[in-house]
Amino acid sequence: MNVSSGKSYTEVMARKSEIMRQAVGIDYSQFERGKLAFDYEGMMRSVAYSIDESRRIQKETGVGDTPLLELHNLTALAREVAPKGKGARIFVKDEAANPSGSFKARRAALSVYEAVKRGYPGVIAATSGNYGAAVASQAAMRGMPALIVQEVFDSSGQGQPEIIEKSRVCEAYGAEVMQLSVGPELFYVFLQLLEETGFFNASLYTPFGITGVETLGWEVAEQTKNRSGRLPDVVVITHAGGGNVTGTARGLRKYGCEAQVIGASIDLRGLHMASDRDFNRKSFTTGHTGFGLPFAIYPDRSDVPRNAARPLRYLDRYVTVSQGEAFYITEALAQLEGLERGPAGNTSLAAAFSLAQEMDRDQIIVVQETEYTGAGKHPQAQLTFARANGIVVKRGDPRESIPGQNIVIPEHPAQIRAVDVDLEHVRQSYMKNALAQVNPSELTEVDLAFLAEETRWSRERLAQELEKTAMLMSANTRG
Amino acid sequence: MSQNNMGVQRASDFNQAVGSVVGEPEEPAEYNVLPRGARRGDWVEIWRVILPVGTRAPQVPSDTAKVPLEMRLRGFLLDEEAVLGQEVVIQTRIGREVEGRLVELHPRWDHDFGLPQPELLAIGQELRKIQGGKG
Repeated sequence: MNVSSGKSYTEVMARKSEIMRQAVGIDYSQFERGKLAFDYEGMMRSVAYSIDESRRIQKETGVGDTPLLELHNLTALAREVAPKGKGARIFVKDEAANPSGSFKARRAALSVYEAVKRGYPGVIAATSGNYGAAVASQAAMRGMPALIVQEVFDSSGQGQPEIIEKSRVCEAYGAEVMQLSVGPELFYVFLQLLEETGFFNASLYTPFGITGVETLGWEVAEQTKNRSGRLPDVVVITHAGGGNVTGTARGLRKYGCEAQVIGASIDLRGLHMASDRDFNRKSFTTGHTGFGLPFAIYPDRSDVPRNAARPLRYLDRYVTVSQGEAFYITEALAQLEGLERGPAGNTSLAAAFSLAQEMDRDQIIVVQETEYTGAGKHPQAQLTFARANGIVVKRGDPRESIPGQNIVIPEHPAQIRAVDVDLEHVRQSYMKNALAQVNPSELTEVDLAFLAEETRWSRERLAQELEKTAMLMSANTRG
Repeated sequence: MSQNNMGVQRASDFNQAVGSVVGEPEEPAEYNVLPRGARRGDWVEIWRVILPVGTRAPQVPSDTAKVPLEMRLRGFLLDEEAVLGQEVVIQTRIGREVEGRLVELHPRWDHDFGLPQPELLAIGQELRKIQGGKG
């Protein structure tokens, strides 16, 4: 396994496919079809688990079956500011009740189970989020060493408080935590560690990482039905890498629930995710557009050859909220509902508070996660840090928010507004990216069917868009 | 607890390996004061440049390209004795041995809940007022 030759950036990256194949034990090439297509459902079927199997595996380590709570006071507040007769009942799935304090335990449970089953000597994950804690916790339960690689600090050595907390908690579960400064070369370090250790890549984006979330969608449907006698009308999901949206939506559909699936991200447009300067000018390190948009447009940019998270296939609608709105709703959740959670996991709650006001009172909107809160991972800690980094913090209209410059905390709950992202535009960007590698004239029938599934466009619509994209691209080449 | 036959065997291996370097505490540690430097088995932090300026990935933005990619890692000191700034070897929690510059002895987590924020403190009472108005 240790065929390490050169260690330079380009040399290691050139061995990427081989390293990844050994580290997840999946031969992705068997699913490749046509020029750019792959057999998504075939991949999910052949290597992932059924809902029943996933639930059994998760139960072994106390994951899942978290409470579904009705937020009576936030619902009443939404109705205060909603048009007459509007204001759906808001429910939240208290995923903070999982062993490591977030829904990520569901993904880690299957990955670590798989690593043990396949005889790997340990697990490794590249994540600055709750997933690290989840992998470390699950690995501890199953007696496996865990190595977590995180992007933590900028060139002045200053760490993002939310990520420092995640370093601490991974260490608390007995994991080795490698902390890195800002940069996409985290992936290069990660590949070298995979080569050196021979550990299982507990990627968020393998079929296991996604199937683990299907149980969450299933439980949302099942518990809502048992509790209120009806299935949810809308499920709101904090969207970053796409696994949360994909897994939850698949679980809902498997249950037979046709609820509208709405993704929500913190709007961080304008901040560069690989910038040393911008790194500590954001107060949310996940659940934001810096992941949400690129992963929707180019899902296969992840740490596995084919990403099992395909958010565009499942999003009926995609909205953003500002950092200040998410902090406001985090405070409201604690003050009115007695639940101190988040803040990043409350992105979907901020959106739901606004979306509920568009819905009728007898309808149900479910926020499908909460996450644990702690030192660093807290609105006060984040705002203190933001001010120290020159960000202006003020009360006002969230429409005045400029990521990286200010954080505007609403003056009134009526100011919280989920803002729609044009999914058609996102799909067009997806298409442009997909066609960057293939000449449209070379696309086969299987490619066209794949693109139609990826974009949810009819074949007629797809044909129009292909023509448009091809024209644009040839115009750009000429220009 | 679930059946995890394969994992348990390995777990004891790596626990043993790590356990062997943790020194017996001789006296209360004087945290972050180094009258005699660090000793074998002390919990320390090392630092290392992974990619110097000029070798970073081609796609990084210009501000990131101007600084190196750095690493920090905590573990148990394997050298018999060392002082800050010295190149040392540590053993991590899972038993890996890694080289780097000793930058901290008994590193602490000092992130906290921050200062009270007036913009947040006001929200609770405002919301109760809105509730009370109609309730």
